[in-house]
Amino acid sequence: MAFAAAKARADFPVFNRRVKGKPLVYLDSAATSQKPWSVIKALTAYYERQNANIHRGVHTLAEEGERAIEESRAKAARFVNAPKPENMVFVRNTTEAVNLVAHGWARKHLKAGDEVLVTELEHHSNLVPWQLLARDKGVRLRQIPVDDQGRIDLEAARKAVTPKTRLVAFTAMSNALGTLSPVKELVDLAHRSGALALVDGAQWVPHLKTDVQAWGCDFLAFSGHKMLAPAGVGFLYGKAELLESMDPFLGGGGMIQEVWFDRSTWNTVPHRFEAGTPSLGDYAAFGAAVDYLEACGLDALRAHEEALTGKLLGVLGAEAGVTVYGPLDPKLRGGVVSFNIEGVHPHDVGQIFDSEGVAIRVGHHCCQPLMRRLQTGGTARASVYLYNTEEDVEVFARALKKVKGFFKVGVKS
Amino acid sequence: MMAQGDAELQDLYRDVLVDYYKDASRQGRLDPHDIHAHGVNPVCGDEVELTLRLKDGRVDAVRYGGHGCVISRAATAMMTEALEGGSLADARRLAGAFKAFMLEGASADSLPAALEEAAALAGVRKFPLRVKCALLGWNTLLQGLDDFSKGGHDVEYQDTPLCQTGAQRKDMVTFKQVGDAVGPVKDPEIHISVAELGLIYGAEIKPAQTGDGQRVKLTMSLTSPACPYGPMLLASIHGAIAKIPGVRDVDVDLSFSPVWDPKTMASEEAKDQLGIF
Repeated sequence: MAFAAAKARADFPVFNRRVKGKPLVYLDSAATSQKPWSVIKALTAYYERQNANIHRGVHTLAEEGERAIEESRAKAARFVNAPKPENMVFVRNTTEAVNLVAHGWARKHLKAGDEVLVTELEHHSNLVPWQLLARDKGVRLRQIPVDDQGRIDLEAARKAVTPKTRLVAFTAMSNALGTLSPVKELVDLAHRSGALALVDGAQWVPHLKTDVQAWGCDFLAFSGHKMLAPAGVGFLYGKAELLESMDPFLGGGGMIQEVWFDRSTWNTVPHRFEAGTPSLGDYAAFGAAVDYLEACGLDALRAHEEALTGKLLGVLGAEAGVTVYGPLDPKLRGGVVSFNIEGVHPHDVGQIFDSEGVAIRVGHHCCQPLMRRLQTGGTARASVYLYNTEEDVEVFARALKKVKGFFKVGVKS
Repeated sequence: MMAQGDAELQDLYRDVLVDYYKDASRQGRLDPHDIHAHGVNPVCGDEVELTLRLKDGRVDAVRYGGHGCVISRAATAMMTEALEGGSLADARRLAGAFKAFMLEGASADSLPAALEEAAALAGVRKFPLRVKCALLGWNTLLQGLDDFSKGGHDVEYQDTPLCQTGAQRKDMVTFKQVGDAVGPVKDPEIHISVAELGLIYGAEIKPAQTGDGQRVKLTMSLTSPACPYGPMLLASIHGAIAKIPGVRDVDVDLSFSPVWDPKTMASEEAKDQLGIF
């Protein structure tokens, strides 16, 4: 059954507005997704009907509020096929989830000389926390190289793993190029040498079916805001015994069992890692985002995005003077396409696209090491989601021609 | 037919800007040079590298490298053209006039004759996100001039986040400055620089506890815990950091965790010199 993107658009109020006098064409979902009415309503409903702090009160509002939030946790667990809701730690975003592993697990269990392995594809959020760890603990940070199309070379990965490797932390899908990683293979590779595997699912989880038990990964980090939920809510999935073995990251209310003046005992997992009053409404509304995505069906969504990505690649491939990064086969990538127009800086590309009402992302995409690897300072990036249509690709094609005409580049004379 | 957005676009990217963007006459790098400043905008990754050569107190030549959008490259190209032949005081005056034009809405008539062409950047003022593109080259220049007036020849400029006004950053010390200062210091025993040896483990830059300026805390190791030249080396490191403009306090911490291991920490070149293969 074909995916009804045009119908889905009606669920997203942002498409009622115009940009530069034109209908909005939103091709920046890899940065953050737009939000459907159902999520926005769930967020306001929390504050209109239930607003109360959690884990503190016995009154009706507190009880209802807590139930809404714990339902979100349970839905998150179901969405990535975690064994239990207790495997899911609420965090603000992917970055916080990675930092939680770096502080709670790595700082406790790793010592000088141990190695953390990442890939050249990583977003700064799955790189800088490990640099900080390396600096403070004398842990070595190493990289698995990618080929010129930004694909992880499994042979090189095999060589990069050493007996000292304690953690392989990698993205399941590159935010800059869209490349899909061989997740299962990398997890197995890590486990064969006794290392743990952390998957950065920020880009994968919103778009492709996720099954942490099939992957066998030890940790999975992802954000709500890229999957229709409000900003301010994300999750760290962790295997139960690993979460149990971890130290708290932030200390404070909610994460303790008993407190004396000089010491405390820790609350049970996952609450041990959830100190302080969280972003209550965002947490409660997360569940509505899962409901929406499940109603769409992730298989249909993937087929829809693959088709649109193929069309975007076709448009870019047909233009002279355009470089496309990443693999050219849409099956090998998610709905993200990075490109450059010869002689035009990505910022100027983005500005012309904006004049056509088209939102794309430009710059280094928080992946400076990858940009250096690809020998570019930055790229323009278009990314699709369930509300994008074939008409969006047509407007994209028009904007692309406008850039070339405007700056008089790539036109054969 | 032109849409509403297109008129603004034509205004943003006036032909003269695109011409300056494509003009390569002052692109490149001068060697030797008297002033060197490197600037980055961490938000977009744009970079500019300025080299200036002086003659009799005047700017003899300026070149710029790096990469950036039409706005940042054209503004930098115009700047380099305007600087040549003038004094360093003229350079500061031009910078002041340009910033007043971009940030405070001063009229194009207020621009000095040497900067006449910069009037073409007026359209950029309607795009607040792009104003910093036009200022990257100029802010980098100002940093270079400040550094030069304090006896330096090499400086790093980092564009400030949108939430900062820039006023308080005058005396910021960068990690690159610390690295550049201590890197060349040689181990008195084996005459290889501490950077090549990999003896520097980390640095921390914080505001000084008392008074203005920054406190730099450097963590480093020695080739052996009993190194007889240790105190001498530490003194040289201390002195090198203290010379960085804006540094008030210096702390050099010795660390033997991890123990220095030339096989993994030293550069290939240093390993060659040490006879480690």
